[in-house]
Amino acid sequence: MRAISLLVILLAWSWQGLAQQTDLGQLEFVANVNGVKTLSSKEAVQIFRNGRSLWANGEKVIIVLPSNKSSMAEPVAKHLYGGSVTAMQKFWLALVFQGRANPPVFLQTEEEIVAYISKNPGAIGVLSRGTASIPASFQLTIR
Amino acid sequence: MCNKKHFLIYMFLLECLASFGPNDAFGQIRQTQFNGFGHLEFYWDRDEGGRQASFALGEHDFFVTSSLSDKITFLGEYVIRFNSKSATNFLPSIERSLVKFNYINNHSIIVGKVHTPVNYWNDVYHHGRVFFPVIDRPLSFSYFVPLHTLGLQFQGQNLGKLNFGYDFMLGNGISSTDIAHESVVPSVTGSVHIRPKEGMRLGFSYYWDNLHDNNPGVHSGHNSSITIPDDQRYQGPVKFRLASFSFASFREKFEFLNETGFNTSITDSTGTARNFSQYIYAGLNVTEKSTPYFVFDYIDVADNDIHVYPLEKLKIAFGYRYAFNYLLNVKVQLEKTWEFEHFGHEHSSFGPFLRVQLAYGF
Repeated sequence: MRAISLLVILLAWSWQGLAQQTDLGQLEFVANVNGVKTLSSKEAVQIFRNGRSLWANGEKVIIVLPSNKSSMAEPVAKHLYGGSVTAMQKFWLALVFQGRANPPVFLQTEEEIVAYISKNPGAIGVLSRGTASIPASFQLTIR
Repeated sequence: MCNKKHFLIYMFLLECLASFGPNDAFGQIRQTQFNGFGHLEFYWDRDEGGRQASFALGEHDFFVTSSLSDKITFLGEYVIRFNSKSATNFLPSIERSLVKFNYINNHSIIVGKVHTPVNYWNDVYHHGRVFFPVIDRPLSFSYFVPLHTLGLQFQGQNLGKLNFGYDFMLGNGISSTDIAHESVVPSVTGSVHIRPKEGMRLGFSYYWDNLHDNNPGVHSGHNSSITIPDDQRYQGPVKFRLASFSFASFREKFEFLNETGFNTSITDSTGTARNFSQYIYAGLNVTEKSTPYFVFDYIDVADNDIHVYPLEKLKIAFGYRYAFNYLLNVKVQLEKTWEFEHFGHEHSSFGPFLRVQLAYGF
């Protein structure tokens, strides 16, 4: 029985597919973090997948995302999380329920996202490219 | 009754806290989120008494998280479930209540009552059935897994390229309650995991506890399926050790979860009992919403075990899960259980049972 169990585990391990793809070129990033004006695409994806809880200056990382009724939700879910809007929401609810993440802030419009980030130090958000004018001080460049 | 009154007052206070909204309460930026989870079930089975078809109201889970400051958060989970011994047939319980201090990026200190981080299932799913990939927990949760621990926890996550994580915990042991531990020696949990790919996690843990006496607390999970009357059970001390290995992969097309447990229970009366449990879940995501799945669940408690008493049981299930969205799913499961050994009982098989579960979040 134990040998069969181990065999099943090894088969499943060897059957895993490639990592989900992301395409950040379709998105624009906004951040209100002292000293953070540029991130690599890898760092950006990691942050938006709960890879960081505090910034280097000690401020809490606040993730800001478009809500499910927003027209930006689908491109953000697809290009940043590699899945659907439902999958993105499930990803975050599950992490919050586990106690391993603070809940992100979901907002409806581009203006709300930019306004929220500008008022909250530590906030970082994402928009569809070209949907809003972002003040230069909050623009985040992805390398 | 007194507990129920206190619980309701507590829930009211939490509601008031939540109603302050996300910002600017008492001049501080704060974020409080209140969620609920519940489920309904339908059973169709057949036993010596004939056929039965029942609807059942499942656990209802109230969940709150709140940012108390940039680095300190609170998490609470309160469950109301059916209990025939209660005057109202329902009893509330505090399943989790903890304060977390995120002292440096991705490293935290937690104090409070948590789900003991011994394996993937207990660390991830808790009481929200809407998150469960199947209808219920592995069999080992009724015998080996120390479900809850109240104490002090050190946690790290998402460290390095492999997203390494650790949990180290000192707390009240299996035989303690939520207000007392009859020993100066705490239970110890050490757990490590890596997440080499998104959706994949490998973990190993070791749990160590010297039970002062063989009276598992109500939240330990070790007494829920033992049918031997309390006055006929072994009452002496037990040295309980549990090594667990988890492999979880929940990806776009294929889902797989393995939970393996090796446990020893050492007593002066019968020596070292070596026990084993194995749980395997495999699901195929035909579409994002539609997942047929298979479950293999096996547990073997040695003949000389007097902590949970001898048992050998196998459950096989085939099921189908349909997710309407991330807050609502229905699962249909056909299962059969074989008892090859069960202390104090005739060996028998059960089923096939048909179970349907509607699980929701709000």
